[in-house]
Amino acid sequence: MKSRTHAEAYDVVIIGAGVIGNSIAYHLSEQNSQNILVIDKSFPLSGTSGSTQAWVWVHTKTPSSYGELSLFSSELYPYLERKIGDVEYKRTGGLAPFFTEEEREKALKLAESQAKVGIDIKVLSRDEVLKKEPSFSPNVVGATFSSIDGNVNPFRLLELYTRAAEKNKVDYSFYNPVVDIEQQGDGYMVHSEKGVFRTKKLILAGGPWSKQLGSFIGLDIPVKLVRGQVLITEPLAPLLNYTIGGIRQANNGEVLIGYSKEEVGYNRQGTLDVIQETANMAVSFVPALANANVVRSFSGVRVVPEDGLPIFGEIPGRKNLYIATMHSGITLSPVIGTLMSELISSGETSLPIEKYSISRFA
Amino acid sequence: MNIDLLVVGGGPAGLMAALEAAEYGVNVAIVEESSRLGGQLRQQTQYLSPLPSGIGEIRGFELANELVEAVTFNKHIVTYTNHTVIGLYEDGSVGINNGKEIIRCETKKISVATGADIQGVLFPGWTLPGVLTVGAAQILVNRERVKPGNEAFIVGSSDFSIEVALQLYDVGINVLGIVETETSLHDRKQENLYRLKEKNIPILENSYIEQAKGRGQVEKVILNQNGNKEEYDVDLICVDGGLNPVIELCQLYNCSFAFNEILGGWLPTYQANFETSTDGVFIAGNTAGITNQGAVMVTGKLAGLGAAESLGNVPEQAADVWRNNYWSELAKLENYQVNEARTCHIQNFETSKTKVYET
Repeated sequence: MKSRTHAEAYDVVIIGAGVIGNSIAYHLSEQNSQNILVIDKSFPLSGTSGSTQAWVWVHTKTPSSYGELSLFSSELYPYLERKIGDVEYKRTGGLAPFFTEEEREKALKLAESQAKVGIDIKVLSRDEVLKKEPSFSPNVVGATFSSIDGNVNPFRLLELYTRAAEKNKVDYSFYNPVVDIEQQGDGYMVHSEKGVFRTKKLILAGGPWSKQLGSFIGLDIPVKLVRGQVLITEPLAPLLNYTIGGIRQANNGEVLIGYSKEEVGYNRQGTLDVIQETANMAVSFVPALANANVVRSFSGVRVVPEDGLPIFGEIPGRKNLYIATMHSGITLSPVIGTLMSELISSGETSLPIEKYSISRFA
Repeated sequence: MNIDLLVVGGGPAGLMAALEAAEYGVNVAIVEESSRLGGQLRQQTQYLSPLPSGIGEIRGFELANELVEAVTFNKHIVTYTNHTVIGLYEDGSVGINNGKEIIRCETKKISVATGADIQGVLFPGWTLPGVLTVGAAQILVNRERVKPGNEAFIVGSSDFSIEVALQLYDVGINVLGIVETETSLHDRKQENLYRLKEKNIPILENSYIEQAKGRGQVEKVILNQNGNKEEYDVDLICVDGGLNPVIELCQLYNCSFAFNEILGGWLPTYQANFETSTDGVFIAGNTAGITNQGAVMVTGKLAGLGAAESLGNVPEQAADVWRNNYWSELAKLENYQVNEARTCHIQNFETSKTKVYET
């Protein structure tokens, strides 16, 4: 940007209008005390938040402290819905099947460790699985089950976050890539294609694009990109009662299926290799799906921090600079928004968040 | 399956692309998802005009039969009806589904001739049975011999929907009128307008459908004409919201796209030989811009020629001569505005390419 005579000034600028950036914006705007701008290179749902199976998934998240964070987030969902509207959050209960006896040992250990943080897991026998989910393959050996897991409609979630935030006077700038970030005293200048914004506090919530945002200010943000391909069937009669690892049936009867994880950068092309593999896997889990027509597929780029755990909080040594990037953003969105808004406005959080600091990678 | 050129879509563009390439000894496979070749020509009962030189006066379905026969007896061409391209493998080979299994096809070049999608027109009640696209109504009447209703409105006044209005009239459907939001019509075929008048089918300008009502199917329509609302008893509404190129396969091939309103919206960028920004991927017919049937056929020839040339089956000089001929024919056949838009679309490809080289 050549002309910098007219930099708009904000208290807080959030880069990234996905499920994390928007949650932070919305929760922060509830206090109605700061001028907030959310800026995005494209529009909400064009990236990771719009290409997800949208589980709100808790019970297999380890270590148990991470499970606990996910638990808190899923417990915030009904409360969030009362504030922003119906995001079609459904606590269906979740099944994670296993197919060998060895896995039962692991399942029992998981149940034991998660119990300590209040996540109630039952380890089911084959018969119990089939009783709960009769269309499941009889080859199943058992499953872990928890009633806390569920799913949400990501499109409604994002829409209602933005609507509520706009009502609270949050500004949005879409289709506006950030091209540079400059530290100025205790604040930041955010250079974007459409202009320069001056802000006291800056939050990086760019998900898969975090690495690039970090590079503007000499920060290495240790995340990987993982492509997931998801198949969607035609609407089927009720077939699945629970959210199952890899498969869920949406309200309208469509079944969403996805297991794949590929490290191919930002490439969002679908490939038949993975599509066929995914379909075969689904049929081996739920044999009745062999008769279903797949009507479309999509793929999305997810962000995975190098150690798998969320990265959020203030960046040490960089005053007023914050980051929030993680896998499972849909699950964690309400809790991250809550904690980050506490941190940004008062410097304190109602839960300890030190273990999620980016400083652990140093 | 191992082939030189895979043609996706067995309509007029695909068939012409296959015939043209086969002319130069290219081994071609045509994949068509429906049970028969011929595409939209199969239900065109009217005489087509304009058509490429050398083709006499002929009705659409008769032309389809001739093309299908030529393709069937051509030793370089194999055809697969009831086969659908469903995706691409990592190694670039094409996945084709025949309802039982997925066939892996390795091809050197591909020509995408997947045609166009007709868009709906939205109004309250548009999902009621009895609301069809004009294309669907035409298939029912001319191909399946099913009369879709008795009292009809047509929504949209393209040449095609006027044609369909006349064909519905011919099978005894009372067409109350052609509903058009515009206030003045240009570029419609004079002959068809004359026939409309003859049959007492009015074009209702400055009008739109406010609502369709009925129990389980369309029974009544509220029409807004010049701001006045009136209710009509109608059991059929045929809508034409315009045509858009079908481009999903080009998206899988990562082709670059541009928006061109006159050519039907988003479509792949391409060069004078109808090759897209992705090497070896050619496009033909309405995929390369919405135009009339005669012009569609010539774009097929251009794509077939381009593929044959890039396979080394036609010397460059000879290809250039033929390409120039086809381009002048295309200019004669298609609407001036469309041809201008197409030329401009191709120039943009060339400039964007130079830009890439410069940086």
